[in-house]
Amino acid sequence: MDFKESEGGHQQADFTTILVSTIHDVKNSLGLVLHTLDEVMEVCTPQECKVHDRFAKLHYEAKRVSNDLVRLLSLYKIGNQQLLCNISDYSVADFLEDCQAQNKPLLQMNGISVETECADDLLWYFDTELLAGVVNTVINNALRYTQDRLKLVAREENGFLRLSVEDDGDGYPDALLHGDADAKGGVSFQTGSTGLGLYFASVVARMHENQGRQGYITTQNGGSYGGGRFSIYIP
Amino acid sequence: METIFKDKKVLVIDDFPEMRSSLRRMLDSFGVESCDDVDSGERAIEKMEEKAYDIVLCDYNLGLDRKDGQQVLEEAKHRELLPYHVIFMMITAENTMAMVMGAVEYKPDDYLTKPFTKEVLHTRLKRLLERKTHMVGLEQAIHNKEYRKAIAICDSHLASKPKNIMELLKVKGGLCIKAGDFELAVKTYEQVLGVRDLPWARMGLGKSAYYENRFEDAKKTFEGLIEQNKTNIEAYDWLAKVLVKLDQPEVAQEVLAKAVKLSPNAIRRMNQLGELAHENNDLDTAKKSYKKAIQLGKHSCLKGPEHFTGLAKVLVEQDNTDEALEVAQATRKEFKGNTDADLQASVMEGVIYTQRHEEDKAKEAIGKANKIYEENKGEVSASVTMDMAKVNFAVGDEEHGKDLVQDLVRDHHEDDKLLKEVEAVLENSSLKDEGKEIIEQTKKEIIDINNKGVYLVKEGKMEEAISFLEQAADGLPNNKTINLNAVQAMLLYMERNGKDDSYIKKSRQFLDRVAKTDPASEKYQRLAAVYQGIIAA
Repeated sequence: MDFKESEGGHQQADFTTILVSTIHDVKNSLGLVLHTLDEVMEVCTPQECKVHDRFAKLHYEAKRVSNDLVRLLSLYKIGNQQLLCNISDYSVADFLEDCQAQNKPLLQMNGISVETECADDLLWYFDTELLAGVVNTVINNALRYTQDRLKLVAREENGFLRLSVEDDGDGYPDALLHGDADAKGGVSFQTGSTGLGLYFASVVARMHENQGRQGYITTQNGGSYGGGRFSIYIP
Repeated sequence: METIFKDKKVLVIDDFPEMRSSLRRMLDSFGVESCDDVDSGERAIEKMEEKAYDIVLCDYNLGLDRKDGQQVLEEAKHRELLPYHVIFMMITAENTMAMVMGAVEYKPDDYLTKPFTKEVLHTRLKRLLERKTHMVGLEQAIHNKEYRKAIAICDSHLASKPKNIMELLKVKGGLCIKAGDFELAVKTYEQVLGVRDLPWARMGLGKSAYYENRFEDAKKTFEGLIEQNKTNIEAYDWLAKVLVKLDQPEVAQEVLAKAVKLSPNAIRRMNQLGELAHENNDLDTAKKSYKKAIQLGKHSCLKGPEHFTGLAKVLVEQDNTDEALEVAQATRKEFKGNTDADLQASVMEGVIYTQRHEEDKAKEAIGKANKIYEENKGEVSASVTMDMAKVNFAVGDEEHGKDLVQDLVRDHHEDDKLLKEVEAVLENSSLKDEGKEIIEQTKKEIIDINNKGVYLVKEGKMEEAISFLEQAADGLPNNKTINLNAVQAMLLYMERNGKDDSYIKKSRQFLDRVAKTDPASEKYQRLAAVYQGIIAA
């Protein structure tokens, strides 16, 4: 006896479905590539290994592709209402610790030190997966522009959680500066992945709502190190 | 190197060899010395039976037509292979897990989304280990069902304003509901909502309203939650429950159907939809749902013969007795050595052959069922017993039919809905004329026993009352009223005369009997709270 539902029969998969499942596949393979690279990099230290910086470059680019794919999938799901904001309460310090841990190999390889500034007892309400996606992307971008350090800052400001990534590079170009509000109007896909990253960040920010207030992002120059400062505000 | 991982025994479950070795290398670098890995959920369960682990890392996706990670977790918890100190971490490929697995019965301690670095795994495991150590007293109390004590532990943690204050309040609210203290539950959830509008706190308020029989309030709360988040599966489940109580089974079915669409992998919900549709006479939906429940149960410990029975009954109603017979046979095959399944299959065959007017075969089948029933008295569900009675009457075995009907009345003498069904069965039988009297007489027999117990309590003959009710309860293990009254007498005695180990044990046993069938009943909740108070004193 067949307990399976016998309706429909063969179904023609549409192109979007094929695309999405392919992205999944590629993303998972890339995950293994990154794992392996992490392991290689552990024995291939800058002192002993001549090609260390090549591996670092390889790792950085692979990570970028991986982040892009994750973001693409997320945007697809948001558009399809498959990905909703699942807001819960989290320790912000724990959250930043997770973000740092996720990016540790990459940061180490590139010789970049990270500092965090966050009160131990700061508790906030957000979707941890979505926000981690934003922070990972921003850190990855900041790596390109910073010299040797990054700072993650989290604090409460006027009823919002402000989460900033600051670097000591040359800062954002004028076209990407947004003093306030969101980057919706400012996204230009010609400017490369920074635009897509900011677009994703602003989508995630706006998905967070509380008592009639909506999240937003800003990009400024200055901050503790005088470089670029990306901030996401979560109500 | 830190030493917290040194003595930890770890089990890795993943169907990809590369992933397994990658995880092993990570664990190795944390200082883990004892690590096993397996490629399937089936092997994982075997391993957990052999050895006590401290940490289990399990990939959600373990290959087509195999147990998935959730089923591994369910079975391990179900078979008590995961004591409270063990960390179970689910590794998933995407971040929609919360939705897909929404409102499942068992949740892992943490989800980890791929890809992740070694450092993330390290940070998360370390944090979980610390949290478990911190919460060990609390979890132990919960495990022992000492809810009052657990609430007190929550309060003492909360007094120090810890980082996980919201988590503790969430646990506390849930414990209040379990202990039957809905007033404190409402207070706890309102305390949270005063700070922030969090869905789980509103869920808690809705559940409290449900248990306090404030069904309209509960309905509004769950509807509001769904409006806010259309994927809040748990809210759909509860809304459906409320609607059944409000006597709107059709609307309840619609709500449950939506939940099933959002989260199609939960067996229990799928079966509930089948039952509800069956009651609503929507046979096509009922058939589809039962079939799906059977299919989902293939690799799960949550599969049950009742899914097969449900399907067979629908098929009989659709006059498709051939397929119904196949289902009965499949039940035996699927649950080899399971008495309950054997009984249900025999009853089904009885029903089917009766429908086909093949009286000899029906007699043979029901004869077999009667024998199993006798050997397992007190453990057969009401709906199976009811079907048995019907078949017995249909094949002319008046004596067995009457016995079964009386058993039903004895077990549920205050359940008017069930008594109506019994009356209908008798109405269609050869005992038509005596039907009402049989019910009334049996009911009276139980009421007399109960009254005698209550009378003895009132007279202050506590020991006599307890021993009388205790005996009655053991003779009628499924009778809610008698069991609860026995508990009440013992608790009253202990309130006056102090704790008594044998009464505590007996009370727990009787309360557990009721908890199996009707944990939501007001009297059960009230007595459970008193019981908690006494053992905590």
